[in-house]
Amino acid sequence: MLSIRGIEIEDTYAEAFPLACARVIVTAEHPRLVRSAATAATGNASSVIGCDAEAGVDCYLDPSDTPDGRPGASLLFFGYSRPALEQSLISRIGQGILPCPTTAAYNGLPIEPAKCLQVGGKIRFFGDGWQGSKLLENRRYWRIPVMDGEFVVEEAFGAGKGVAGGNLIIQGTTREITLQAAEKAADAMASVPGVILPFAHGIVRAGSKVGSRYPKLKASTNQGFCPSLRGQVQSELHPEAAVAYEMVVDGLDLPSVSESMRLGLDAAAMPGIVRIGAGNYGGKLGSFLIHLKQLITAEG
Amino acid sequence: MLTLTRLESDPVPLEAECLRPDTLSALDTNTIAKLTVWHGKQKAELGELFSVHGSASDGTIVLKGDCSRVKLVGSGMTAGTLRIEGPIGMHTGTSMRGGTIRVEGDADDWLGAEMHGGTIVVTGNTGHHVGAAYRGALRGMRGGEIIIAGSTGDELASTMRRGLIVVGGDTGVFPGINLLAGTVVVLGKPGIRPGAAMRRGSLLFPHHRPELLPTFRGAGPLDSVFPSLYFRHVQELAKRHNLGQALNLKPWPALVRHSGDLVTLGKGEILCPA
Repeated sequence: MLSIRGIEIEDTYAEAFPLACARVIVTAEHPRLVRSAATAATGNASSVIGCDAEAGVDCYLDPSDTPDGRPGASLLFFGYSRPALEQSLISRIGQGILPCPTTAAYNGLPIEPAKCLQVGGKIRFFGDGWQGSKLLENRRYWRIPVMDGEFVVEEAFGAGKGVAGGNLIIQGTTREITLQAAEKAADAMASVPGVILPFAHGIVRAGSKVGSRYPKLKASTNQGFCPSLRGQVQSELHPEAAVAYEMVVDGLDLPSVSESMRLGLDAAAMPGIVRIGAGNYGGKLGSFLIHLKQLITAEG
Repeated sequence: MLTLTRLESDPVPLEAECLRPDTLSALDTNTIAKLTVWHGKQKAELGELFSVHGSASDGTIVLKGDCSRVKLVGSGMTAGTLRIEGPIGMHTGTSMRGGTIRVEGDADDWLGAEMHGGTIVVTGNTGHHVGAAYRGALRGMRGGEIIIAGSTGDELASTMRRGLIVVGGDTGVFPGINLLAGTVVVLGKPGIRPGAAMRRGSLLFPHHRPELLPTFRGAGPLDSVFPSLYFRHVQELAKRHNLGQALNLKPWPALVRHSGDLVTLGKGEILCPA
């Protein structure tokens, strides 16, 4: 049996898949404005099952690390395709960041001209003809007049091929202990640069399976992990488990997601946890299989 | 590296538009020495006026000696590096599209006129019409960057369409006249009548408030990150081109925006202290 400090690690794998990704650097005069803009821009973006994108705050940035020398945040966005992601960014920057006082938005990924996302180049039309642009080091910045001055947004944003759907399922004997372990895991997983945990608080209690008995529903509750359905369905819970939480992680590349899962495994392996596993679809859906066994080996 | 040394100072103008690294890189030393230049109204071979050493196969040319009457150096170049150790004559880097020209001395009029891209760095002063349009042309500089550590002459950036010009010192009269777009940063004192007839574009005078034409309207303090993006970029340019001592890099104060010139489109701006 695989284990970390005596906690069972299921010999299974997480099934992750590629999504188009973008990084937005948002800055503002004050960190509280950065937080508000970041929260608004990444809101309602937990899963592409039901949202236009998966998004979250990668990290907060010191003024020395931002293009304009102000406090900032690095936001990651993931979408099914580049066109879908472009539309999400236009909407989320246009409605979440642009209206927030003093903000500006910059691209945070390398740009390949053929694959870039025209974001500022479309948001600029909000300027109704009063917008202006500046070309600096081959990057075009749009200046859009707003009621507190100007909103500056970069014309093009780079699009990468990210990895979404890295996950862990933590099962514990009580809700209190399992939630505590999941919170520790969330903190550890989010500490890896270039990843986000897109769900609220970084923890999912509504793990889902593909499809439903209702034809229009793309996903529905994963009954095998619902403790209240023991006896009615074939349970996938450990016999001593009372609660399960899922940790979902998206990242700019596979090593980041794997490292995040590795840290999550280690953090969650605490007394009261009876099993840590991962969700998959039998290897049929995702192109990246992240085996927990290899993560433990990587940990040494 | 190809080294060309001017054999003697000569008041007769020399038109040497062949001196550009992208075309010389494919030629051997003998061929380069036989290139035709115009010495006054006479044709001459380059080797009669310069000593020629080395090869430009690495895309680098160094020009030494008194070249203050040598015109059109680097004109139209697309790549490579041209280092001029001393003064250089008129029309240096005109219509260039890429590469870097570094003048370690003064440059005469029409520096970078109608250039499309690339970078020109001057450690000394320059003459008039930097980045300008030639008489009768519709557009001046259309891209690239010109950084001048010293002062410059009249009609800086006349009819400029795109790009960035940074001047560490003062300017002559009419900086940014007829500006179409682009950005001009003057860290010293700008000359009179800045931005006359400008349509779009930005003139930044962070340390001096010039007397403005009556066809500019005050818009109050500019609350935008745009000046700070340029301040950081100027800092980066100074570092990249070793101009840290020459350029005035003290922080910019809050700037006030004046829009104009209202005799034309009026979408340009002059940013200066209150």
